[in-house]
Amino acid sequence: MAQTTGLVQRLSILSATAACVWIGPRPDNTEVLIVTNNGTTSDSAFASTLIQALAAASTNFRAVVATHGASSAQITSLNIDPV
Amino acid sequence: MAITTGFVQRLTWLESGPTACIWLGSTPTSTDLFFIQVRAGDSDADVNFKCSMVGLLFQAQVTGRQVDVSHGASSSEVTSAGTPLCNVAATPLQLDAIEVTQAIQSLSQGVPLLAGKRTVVRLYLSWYSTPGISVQGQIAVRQGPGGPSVTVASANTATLDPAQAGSVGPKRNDATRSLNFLLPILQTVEGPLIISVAGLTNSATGAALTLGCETRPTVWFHRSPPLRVRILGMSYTQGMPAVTFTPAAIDFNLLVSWLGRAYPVAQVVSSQAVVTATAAAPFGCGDINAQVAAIRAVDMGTGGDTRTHYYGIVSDGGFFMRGCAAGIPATAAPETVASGPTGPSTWGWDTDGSYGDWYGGHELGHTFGRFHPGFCGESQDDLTNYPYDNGQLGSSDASFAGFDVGDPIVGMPMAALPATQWRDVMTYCSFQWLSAYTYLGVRRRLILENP
Repeated sequence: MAQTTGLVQRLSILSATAACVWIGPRPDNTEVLIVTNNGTTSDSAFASTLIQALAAASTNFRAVVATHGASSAQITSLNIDPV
Repeated sequence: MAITTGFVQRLTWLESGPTACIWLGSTPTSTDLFFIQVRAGDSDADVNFKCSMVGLLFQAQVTGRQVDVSHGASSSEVTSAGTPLCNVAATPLQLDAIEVTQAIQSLSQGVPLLAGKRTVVRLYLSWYSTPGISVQGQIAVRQGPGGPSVTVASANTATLDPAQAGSVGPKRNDATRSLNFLLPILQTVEGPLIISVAGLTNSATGAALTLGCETRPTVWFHRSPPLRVRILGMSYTQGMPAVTFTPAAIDFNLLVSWLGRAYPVAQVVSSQAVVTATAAAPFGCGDINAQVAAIRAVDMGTGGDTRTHYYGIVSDGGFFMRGCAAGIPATAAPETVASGPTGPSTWGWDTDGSYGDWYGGHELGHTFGRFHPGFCGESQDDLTNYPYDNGQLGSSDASFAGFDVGDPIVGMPMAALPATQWRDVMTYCSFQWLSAYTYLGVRRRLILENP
């Protein structure tokens, strides 16, 4: 497992199964992660809520901690810590 | 496929479909209409995808962020949506954030703004090139989509250090590193205010600068009751030969100014008088509170405003009288009086010439029902409720930030008050200001006192 921490610099909701998020300290220093789902009700609901949280963090200048596989860009959990 | 970039000027979410109608453009009168429609045959994943896009667009509208929407070249149906890339190579001047502050604020504008209160719009800018530059500029503000635009010039020149590019914290913690705009009082009336950047220039060359990642937030100013306070300067005589000690004019003036800057009020309705203390020096605050309460009772009996708080100040020239409030009322009770010392001591951090200002803010805070948090030797009456570490204004500098909007009448400049350095006024710590917790608590009580 790996974690990427920082501000949501950019968010693109691309399709019913994929969204990209650029996380990092500044716009020119980011890591691209993805939110995907397998199309099932529960998985797409999870992905949708994840995207909502990323959107809220993006527009409110809140840092996020995105957990993903060590060699995978797919976000498996998201944490927004208190400030 | 085409991509349209702009600000969400209007968004309607209709039950029919459901369908979202999105008006996207640079201004409210220059928009293109797009839509997102949930159809009967859509899978759960499709529905969630479309709802996610609508949610993002709502967030962008509320916070004034730009968005990209993709759509067919000849279609208005949105097929994907996102926030745009901030291209720092193409546009080295980028807007990190806009914060509208009156005393304490978060970057998400979580603290309500009060109509008529001195207000500063802070632009946090980044310069992604070397060497650094100094900038100044103008913002445009409107009180509604169709309202006239008013241009406000920056109150300072901000020096942008490339080493701080992308980092809001150092700019937020230093008033000279943000570009600050003092709003005209007429632009802080109750209701909305739409803020946009009208222009930025290199202050050394006068050249216009292009700004990337602009946001155009809308903030809302709320009505607030004034703080009514009568300040009694309690004089006393002490020593042989006898010397009379009376609070100085600066003690009264800085107390009124501080309350206006730090408290959640747009106006401090104050009056003052000098009264001879009836108790012999060295007296205690209980003695002074009893006398102040008696004076208040007489004033109320002769038509005084019952919403007025009474506060006695005692010069520390002869001796130091520790302050106290006559109580910490659980419900609105402006009849609860308080008193405290004043004088020129700095306490190691306050160099404005009188400490009676924040000290008075503390004792008056008790009369608004505020307890000691319990971090710096004061009683731990609110330790479990106080939300931030160590009595700070926030648990990190990314949290709330204090900002003293200044007061030219008393020669007080604008100053940033970092959350981890400054502490809540109800503590006994150094560097006192109002946390959002106390600010909102006093505001709630003020509203109850002014039904």
